[in-house]
Amino acid sequence: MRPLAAALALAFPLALAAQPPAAATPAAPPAAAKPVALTPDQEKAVELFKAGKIDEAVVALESAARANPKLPPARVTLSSLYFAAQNGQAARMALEAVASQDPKHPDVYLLNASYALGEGRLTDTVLSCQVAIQLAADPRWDADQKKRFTREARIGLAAAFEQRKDWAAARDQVTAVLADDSKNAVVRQRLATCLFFLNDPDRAFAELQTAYKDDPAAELPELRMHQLALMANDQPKAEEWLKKGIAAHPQSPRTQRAMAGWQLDQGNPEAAGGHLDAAIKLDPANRETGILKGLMARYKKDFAAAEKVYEDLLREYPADAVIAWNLSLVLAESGDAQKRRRAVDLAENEAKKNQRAPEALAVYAWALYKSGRLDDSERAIGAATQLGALTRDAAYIAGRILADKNKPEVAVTALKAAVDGRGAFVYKAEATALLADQQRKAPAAPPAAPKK
Amino acid sequence: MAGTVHPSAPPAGRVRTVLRNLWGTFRFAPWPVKLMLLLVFVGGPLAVGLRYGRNRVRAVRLGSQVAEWKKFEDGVRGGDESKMVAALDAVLALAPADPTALGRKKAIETGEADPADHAMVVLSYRRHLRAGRLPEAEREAKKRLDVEKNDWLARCVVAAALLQRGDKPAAAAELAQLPSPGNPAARVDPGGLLFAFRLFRATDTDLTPLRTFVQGVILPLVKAPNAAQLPPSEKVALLECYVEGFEPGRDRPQPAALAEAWAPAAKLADAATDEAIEAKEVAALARLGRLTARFEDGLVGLRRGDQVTAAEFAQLQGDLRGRGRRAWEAVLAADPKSAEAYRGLGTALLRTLDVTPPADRPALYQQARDVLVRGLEARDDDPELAQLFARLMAAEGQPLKAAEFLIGQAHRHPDKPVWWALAAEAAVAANRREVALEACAKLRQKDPDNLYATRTEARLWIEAGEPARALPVLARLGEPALARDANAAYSYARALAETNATDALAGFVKAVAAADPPTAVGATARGLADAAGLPADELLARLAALAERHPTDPDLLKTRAEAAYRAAEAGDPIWQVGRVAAAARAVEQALVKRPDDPDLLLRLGWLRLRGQNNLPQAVRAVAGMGTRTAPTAAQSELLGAVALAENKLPAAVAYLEQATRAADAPAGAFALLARAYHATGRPGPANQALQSARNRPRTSPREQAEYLTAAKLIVQ
Repeated sequence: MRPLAAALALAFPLALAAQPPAAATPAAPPAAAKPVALTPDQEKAVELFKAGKIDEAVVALESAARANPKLPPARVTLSSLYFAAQNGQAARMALEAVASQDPKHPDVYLLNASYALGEGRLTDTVLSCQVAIQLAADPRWDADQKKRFTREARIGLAAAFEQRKDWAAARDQVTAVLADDSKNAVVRQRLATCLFFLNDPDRAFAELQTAYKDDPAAELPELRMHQLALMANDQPKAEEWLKKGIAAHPQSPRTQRAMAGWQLDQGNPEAAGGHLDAAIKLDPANRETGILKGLMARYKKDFAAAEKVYEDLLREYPADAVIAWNLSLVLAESGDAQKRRRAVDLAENEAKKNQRAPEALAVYAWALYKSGRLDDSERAIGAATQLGALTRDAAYIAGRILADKNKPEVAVTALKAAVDGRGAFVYKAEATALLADQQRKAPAAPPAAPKK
Repeated sequence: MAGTVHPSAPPAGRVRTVLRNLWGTFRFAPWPVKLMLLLVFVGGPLAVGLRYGRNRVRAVRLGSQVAEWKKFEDGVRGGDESKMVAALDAVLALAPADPTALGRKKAIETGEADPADHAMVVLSYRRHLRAGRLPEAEREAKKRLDVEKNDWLARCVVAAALLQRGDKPAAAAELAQLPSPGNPAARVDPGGLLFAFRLFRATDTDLTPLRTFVQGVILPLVKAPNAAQLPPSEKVALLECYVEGFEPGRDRPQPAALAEAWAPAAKLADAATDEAIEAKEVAALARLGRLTARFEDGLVGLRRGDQVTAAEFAQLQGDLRGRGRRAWEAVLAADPKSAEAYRGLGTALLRTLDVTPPADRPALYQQARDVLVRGLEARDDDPELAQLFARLMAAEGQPLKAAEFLIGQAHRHPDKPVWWALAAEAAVAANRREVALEACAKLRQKDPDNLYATRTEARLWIEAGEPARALPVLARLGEPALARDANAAYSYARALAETNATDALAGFVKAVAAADPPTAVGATARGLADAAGLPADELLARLAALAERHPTDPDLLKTRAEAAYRAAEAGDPIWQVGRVAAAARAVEQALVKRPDDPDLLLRLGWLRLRGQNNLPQAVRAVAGMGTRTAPTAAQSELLGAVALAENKLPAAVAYLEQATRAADAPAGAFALLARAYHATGRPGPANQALQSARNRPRTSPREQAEYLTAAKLIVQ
């Protein structure tokens, strides 16, 4: 669940859309929620909301809005709090209430757009953002507010156009945002993405270089090009950009980590080893380096080593779901019943915290399976498949459980997805063997109808 | 002999005999003797009698005159002019040529006293003062000061007249000549003391001597038993002085004498309220009502200094507010149309909001609404009352309704454009710029040259990012007026700069510089500095043009220093040597006028640390920063940066953590904190801090540079 406080960054859900499309590296941590400096009234409102004191939370939000008129109306914020708490209906009702009170407030349409975007209603997103831009022109708003509304709306439009793959329209929107915020590396990266898909990789790379110059914490240009090539399903180019990255930034642990990850994704843990060693040498304390180190240990079935790595990491980053998932998977492999029990507890806790993440439920299913709770595990993996596409390891877990439930046809489908998929795959050997086994058990498919 | 009295004769017979003898003697005496005897025995008593009679008449007449002069003095004391004139007429009837009476009557009729008649001079300036005729009062007061330079009230009158003419420096200089209030010749009374408090405030003069006098001299009078014998209005005057004795500072307790005098003062206030209610002295009651807020401020001061406990505070505050309400209600009972009383009651209720639990607030709002609605029914022509009602609605979370209410009032009173001004104010408070603009436009329809509407409308257009629409609004005032009005000059300069009206801007800057008096120099400079998109070099050139004529204007110097600082950090690469040196000079010049200005000290610190890379000077620049009061986020950031440069890592971490805790924490503080964590071997927190810096807007090139340095160090 997204932290409630983050929902108050009401420059908010659409601003989160300003982040580039998800990286292809499977071990990448989830995008950090934008930190928000809350006013004391807002903090109070969040606490009251959490305690179910909605009316008092509204009073606190109204007080916050009075103290800083540039904040969104209280009920817009309330709506976003509901949304963050996954109470979509209440979120909508709150939004409709404020829409009837103040129908000319651009924040109403921006929030509506963000809900629409999250639900894949792209046309609604576009329309709401266009209305927000029109309303922002009212003299009621000062120059800063106008700028914010317009910026948010353009980012929302860009996100919708990107999903429609209307790259030219998306490019126009992000270019307009950059006109006022030229140092924004995240938005410039999105411009590069548009340019890349408009068949202008050279300009895309130039923009990425500018973004990196403006923000050294941004993705390395070559690594971003690597990801874009992956998105375009151009594996050779993707590898080429990785190599260029290592050549251009030989001392960057990021390029070494990326190459190690890439090699693992290709099923080459041996080739990955050298790069991982280099990354460890360059940046031993880095979280992503640690995650890759643990992943490598899992590939090598060195569960004791993996356990130590992930235990250490979890102490340092207790809120990191990826680390917790990996630790749970490692503990589940243990022969020690107590550790397997801990795997279940850890995975259950993470599944509760990340109710929309199929990976979280898949890990939970695996921990249950390894603890001998087959029926529970089947239910959990069933829920995971409802949430969206599974990673290769998660698909293997589904296949394994379904095989044990003696459902070879469904198991074969899951295992085929795992074996044919792309990305890191620790259980590759097990999956291949199990697929062969299940294919034997599955009844033969009915013959295809003769062609006329 | 016929006149001989026989000893055995009866008395009457003896007297007759004696008289007969005397007559016989007189009858036969020679005529000179006769004449002499007549003079002795008849003329003498007659003369004595006549003399006695005349003296007696004179004495009676004098007594009447004295009585009439007494009546005159009574009239003086009570400020009753008709009584004074009647008394003088009576004196003149008794003594038509009485020069004093003639002179005083003339003085009353013309308002000009004979300088030789000192008492009448005093009376004359006081009469003018009471009647609000300040220029005449000043003329008479000056006569008084010619003979008694220590006359407190006369000096105050002269200062007040200077203030009224807008000559604040001269008024301050006049007040500087006031004698010590303890000087017997000053003859300071509570009224004069309160007058001085008002003047000191208006001229930004230090109030300490007056407060000291209150604490030393007035407090014993408040505590004295005979204060109870004073009439209500004089009791109130003493109480008004008492509340003036409270120290304004928040960082130290109130003087013990003030705390000790609280109970007697409260008792005196209670007595004054009771007596004024009984005597129906509305003016005294209104003053008591007004005093409530001041008393409460004092009580808060005592609580802050732990001089009353929380329980005592609550009790005393309740008593105080109860007394205030009683006073206002009594005013209303005597005058049901007193707008001030409704305002006083409404304000008193709104003041209790802070101590009212949220659950009880609706009832309080209702109570306040009832009072104010009653007031508006009685006095719907009182804008201040309506403004208070609007404030109430805003406090209830309905600021827009407040504006709508005032707009309704404006429509109901089309002859009073002030309602539109109030509506505009309320709309601005409700953050509804478009409603405020409409109200300003309406106001200007009624009163095309209304200064408030012009200023407000122009400012609103500029804030809305449409400076071109502000220009024609302001242009109506004409450049000479714009160049003298600080508020309008700010907007005009900014709008011209934002619309790239280069020539017009140059002309206007020239006009501002040449204006006499130069009242808009600082505001014009600030307008230029705030203008979006004005290139740094152009801004500096314009400010230099202003500075040529006004090299010591503190506001201009500060704006110029800030502009020079921004120019120094805006280059590519930032901190170019020449610009940094110019900025440092500009900041140092501004600091001469404002040595404690925190913004300027911050600029100097960054220039030394980053611009000149001069750590010892940076350390000197920040010495003392944040010692008297807790440092702000920006100060903590600079202190942290200096500590980091000195490699004092724990101090750096402490300062920077403090800076990043603020709601408006700058991105630069997070970047520096990331570096500090990195230096102390804490990669996790360093990354987190860097991420926070990344997600915050970098509001200046310096902050961007801080971020780049930290990112390169930590990420690469």
